[in-house]
Amino acid sequence: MDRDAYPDDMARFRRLNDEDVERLLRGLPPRDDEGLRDLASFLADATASLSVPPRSEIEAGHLAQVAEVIGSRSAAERRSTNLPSSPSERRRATLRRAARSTAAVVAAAASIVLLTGALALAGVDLPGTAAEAAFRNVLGVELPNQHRADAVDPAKLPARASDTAHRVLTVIHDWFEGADWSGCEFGARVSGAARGLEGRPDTAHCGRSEHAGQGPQGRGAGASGTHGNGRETAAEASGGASSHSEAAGSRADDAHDAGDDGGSVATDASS
Amino acid sequence: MTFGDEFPRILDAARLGSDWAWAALYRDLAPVARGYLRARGASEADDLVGEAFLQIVRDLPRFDGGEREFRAWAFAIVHHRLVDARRRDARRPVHPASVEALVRAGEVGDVEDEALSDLAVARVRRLVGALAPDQQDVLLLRLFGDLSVPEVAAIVGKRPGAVKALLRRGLANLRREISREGVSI
Repeated sequence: MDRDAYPDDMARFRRLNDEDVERLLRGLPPRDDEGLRDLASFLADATASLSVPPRSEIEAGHLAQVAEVIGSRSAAERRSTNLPSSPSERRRATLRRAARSTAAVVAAAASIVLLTGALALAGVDLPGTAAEAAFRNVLGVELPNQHRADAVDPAKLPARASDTAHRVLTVIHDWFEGADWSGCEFGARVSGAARGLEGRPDTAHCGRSEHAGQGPQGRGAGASGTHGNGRETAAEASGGASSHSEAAGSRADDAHDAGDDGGSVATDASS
Repeated sequence: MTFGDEFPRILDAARLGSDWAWAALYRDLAPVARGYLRARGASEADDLVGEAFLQIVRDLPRFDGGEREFRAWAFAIVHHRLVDARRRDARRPVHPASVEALVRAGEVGDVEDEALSDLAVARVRRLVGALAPDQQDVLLLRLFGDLSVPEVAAIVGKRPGAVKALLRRGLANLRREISREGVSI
């Protein structure tokens, strides 16, 4: 469909000057063209009939929204003016933030230490992995691997260390180095070293069938495995006195043969 | 201009968040903005007026000028809100009920009742709606916004010469529609 006026009308409107157009928009016909009065009237009526204010409740709603936006903007401006402006104020604010962060880190570290100490006093033994996870997640500190053989190197003992300590640590070091002992044999050797016995300790009561030749690395993956071995050893050496070790119960027969001897050895070794 | 010498004081008060100043600006601009939107056939003219005023409030700190410039700036916002609404409606088309269907439906709300009874508004929409969209833009911004050719050109993104040509073509086509109708308003 042709949306434009007839060519004659188009030529008529092209001849209108700016003043004529202004008059039409104000509802008046051009000075020398009364024939456009109907158009001028239509434009005037259109402006009057459509330019009516919104209903009062709509106007109230709009003005309430305007007030809300102004209120939220004012609040935001107040917040921004509360920020420190001078360099010295900004420096002090930075120092305050740094002090708060440091205090938080110190508090977290102290909490871990106190918690660990409290648990130790209460006789609760956290698995090694849990303690490591706590240090890693809370403090971001990676604990050294406590199960490496060099961690129990007798050569690193202080000069004032006793011969007993040297002997016990040597046995433990050998164990970590992969000595071909069962847990029972290891316990017996530790107790022998603690008592100052020379030569090969009495391991006749130790069955060779279980755990032999595995060493600490072979017994379990990581800290908890080795920790469990220690419990087994203690149970064997103490004749089943270690009440919280599952291994103690399972290997009670072996430990029973060790008798009083093993119990006293375990006490000596731990002291 | 509506406010004349009072305008700077009103604008300063509006910048400070004064309720009375915003009410004055709203009562001056809302009727003509609403008229422009209704003539363009906006389905939710009141909502668009509200949205436009919220944007005016947010953007006022960046505005600089007198009453004439403020009016052109405000109408630019109103026009852009209309364009946005048109795009939105195009993505999610709404099919309004026909007049006959509304009449058959019997009792209608106040808004529909007013709209149906307002034959003058319906006639304006029908005649103006026959124009090309860019002719409607130019003619109605000049008519309701009382804006100059350069101001309209800035809003619609055309050269002033093109705006003048569109205005004359729009007036000529409107006259043709009126003469076809054969009845004056």
